[in-house]
Amino acid sequence: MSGMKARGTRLSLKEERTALLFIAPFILGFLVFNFLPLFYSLFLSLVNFNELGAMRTNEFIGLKNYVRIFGDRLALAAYVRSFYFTVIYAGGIIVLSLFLALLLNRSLFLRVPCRTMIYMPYVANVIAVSMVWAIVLNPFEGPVNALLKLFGVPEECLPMWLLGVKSALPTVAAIKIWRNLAFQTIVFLAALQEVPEELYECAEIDGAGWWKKFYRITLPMISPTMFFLVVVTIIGSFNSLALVKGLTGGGPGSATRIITLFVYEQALRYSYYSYANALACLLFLFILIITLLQWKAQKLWVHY
Amino acid sequence: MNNHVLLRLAIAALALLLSVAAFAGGAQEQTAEEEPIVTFFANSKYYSDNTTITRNEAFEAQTGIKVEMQLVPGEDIEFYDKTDIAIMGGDTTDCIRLTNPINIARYVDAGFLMQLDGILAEIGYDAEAVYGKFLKRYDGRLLYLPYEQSIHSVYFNEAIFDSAGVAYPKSPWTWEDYVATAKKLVDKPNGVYGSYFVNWPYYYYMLARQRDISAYTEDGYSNYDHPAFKESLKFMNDLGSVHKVQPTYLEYQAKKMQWDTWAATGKYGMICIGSWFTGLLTDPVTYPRDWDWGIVETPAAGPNGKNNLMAGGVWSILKNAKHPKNAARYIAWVSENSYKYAGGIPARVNLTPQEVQDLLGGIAEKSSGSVTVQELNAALLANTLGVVDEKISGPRVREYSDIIEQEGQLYLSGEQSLEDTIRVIKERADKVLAENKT
Repeated sequence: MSGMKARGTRLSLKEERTALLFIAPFILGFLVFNFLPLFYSLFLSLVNFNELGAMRTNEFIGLKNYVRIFGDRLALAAYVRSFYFTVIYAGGIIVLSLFLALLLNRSLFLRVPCRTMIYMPYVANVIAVSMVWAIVLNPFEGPVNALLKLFGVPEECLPMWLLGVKSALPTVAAIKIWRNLAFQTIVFLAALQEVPEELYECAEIDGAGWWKKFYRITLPMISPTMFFLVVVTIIGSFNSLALVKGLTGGGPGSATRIITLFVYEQALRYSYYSYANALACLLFLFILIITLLQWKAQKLWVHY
Repeated sequence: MNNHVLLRLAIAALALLLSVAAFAGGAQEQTAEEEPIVTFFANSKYYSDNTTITRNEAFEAQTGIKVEMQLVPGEDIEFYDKTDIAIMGGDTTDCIRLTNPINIARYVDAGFLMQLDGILAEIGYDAEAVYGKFLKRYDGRLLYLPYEQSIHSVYFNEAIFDSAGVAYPKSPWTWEDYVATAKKLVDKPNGVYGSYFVNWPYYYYMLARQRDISAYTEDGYSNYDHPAFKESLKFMNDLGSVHKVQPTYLEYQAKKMQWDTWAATGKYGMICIGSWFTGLLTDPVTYPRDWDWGIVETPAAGPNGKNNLMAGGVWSILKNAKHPKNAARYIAWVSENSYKYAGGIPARVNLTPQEVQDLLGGIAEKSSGSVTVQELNAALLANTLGVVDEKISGPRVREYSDIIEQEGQLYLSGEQSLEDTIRVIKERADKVLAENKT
């Protein structure tokens, strides 16, 4: 008996070591490329390295860079813009991807080609996407406004899309939704396919309609997946640098100058390296708080 | 397989990898100085440009020094974003070409450029004799060699003028004359405009620069509330929105028009731009055209604005250069000879009158008869105008320029009034300049 227990302990130790060996490359990569840069970024935000030239990190200034953020109207506006962008993007993509997943979960004619078409934007190059959408949304000669004109929309009411101060940011959000729809749709689809059919059959027997089935069965059953998607979508929405740079460059004016672009410009255009790191660390803090709040709130609506 | 064996294999692999990396790095350092090589940062367009490749081959043939371009993806802004970090990180690329006065100033202030006096003396090169007044020193230090003087002038499409029955423009003339001429050239049904200005921010204050109005006050704050800047921005807006002689700013953005659209499409009557533009107009491979072009000096901005805009590109050796002597040979050669391959006007004082005529003759010949030496000389060198820097220069100039661009865009797209635009530019610039003082 004790021999079997000893052999069992030796086996589990061996398994543990093997497991560690297999995840060691990932851990090493995570430490080197994620963990250490995070702490170095925090360190840089506390020194005065705000000039192009030799790297100077020996002047410790504490929280001065952070204090500067709260006096910088443009920085605060960039944060607000990013939150506004997140609300449009996250809200839009969750609703739309769930809708698409529900459609694809049925037996649909040309289901496979539909799935392929939904997935294609996800793998397209972001700059190519930007160029194509700039042509499509050309407010003067683009097909979208031409179609709207055909439907009787007066010329003065035609939207300026990426060139309008008010319309640019929602337009960028919509393009990002179109591009990233595939991932959320596929994850939702997988979750929908895990919902037991018997639940729907029982509900039908009890006389439940489509909405009741959706609200009482589908949503609670896929709530863990939805929670995961909401969290990753909100985190991912703050990282839209490439798309914004490709579509509008932050313009017109500063209409689409979201916080990641603002950080990029502070660091690389104006050489305010420490200030940019402070902006990034504060953004990290905001995202962390939002994620923690979501984590706490999951008790209210996520059913495991 | 046994866990011990696996662990040992993993450790051995890691050790091998690290030692290869260390050894390879060491090996590179050992051969660096001995190899006849020179390297420089090249943006995407420059890297694949036939002119650059031909010029480098000529240098290699003449000196036996191999030229290796270090590709930095992106153009202009993105290019310098990356080279900034590379140089700060200790990159050992030898040379860099700086084309924008703003970036020249940044690199000088950052201490990225090697002092050239010593290294040029080592290779026996007398920069003063070649470049004279075009050399700029910083506290007595020479930090770069100029390879061109970019002189503005107006280039015009003769076919559009002929089609409209309008006489070719003649100097001296003013911007009012320019607008009146452009109006006669517009042929909307055929998509022809009379004028084209690239959407570069320095055009927003062009008239003010021509009047040599500084963007900074004497006490180092923004002078953007000077009436000349307001007038200049309004002029640029009115070209498209009021006079309708060129695409509006919104049309320009919507159609993603570029800096070479004028040469590529042949749909615009006139363009006011630097003399480097002759390189496009004498490149029939990249810019094939079936129309002739003409050249005339830049219009004056009124009686106090009889100045032409000038800028210039430079070559410099970076402070961490691995092959400084080869780099010195390269920048000396390319600064002297660049114009023979890329067109434009060199920033040299030691060209004989015959060489100047030959230079202009080379452009005239490559223009396939579009322009004569006399016309080029009258527009570029022997014009009736003085000279001012095309761009503003001073503290925090990059941020200042970006503020002008961002707020200017709002005005040009009709989202903000002219008065508010000028006020906001001044407020934002003053804030940045005040921070700079502290």
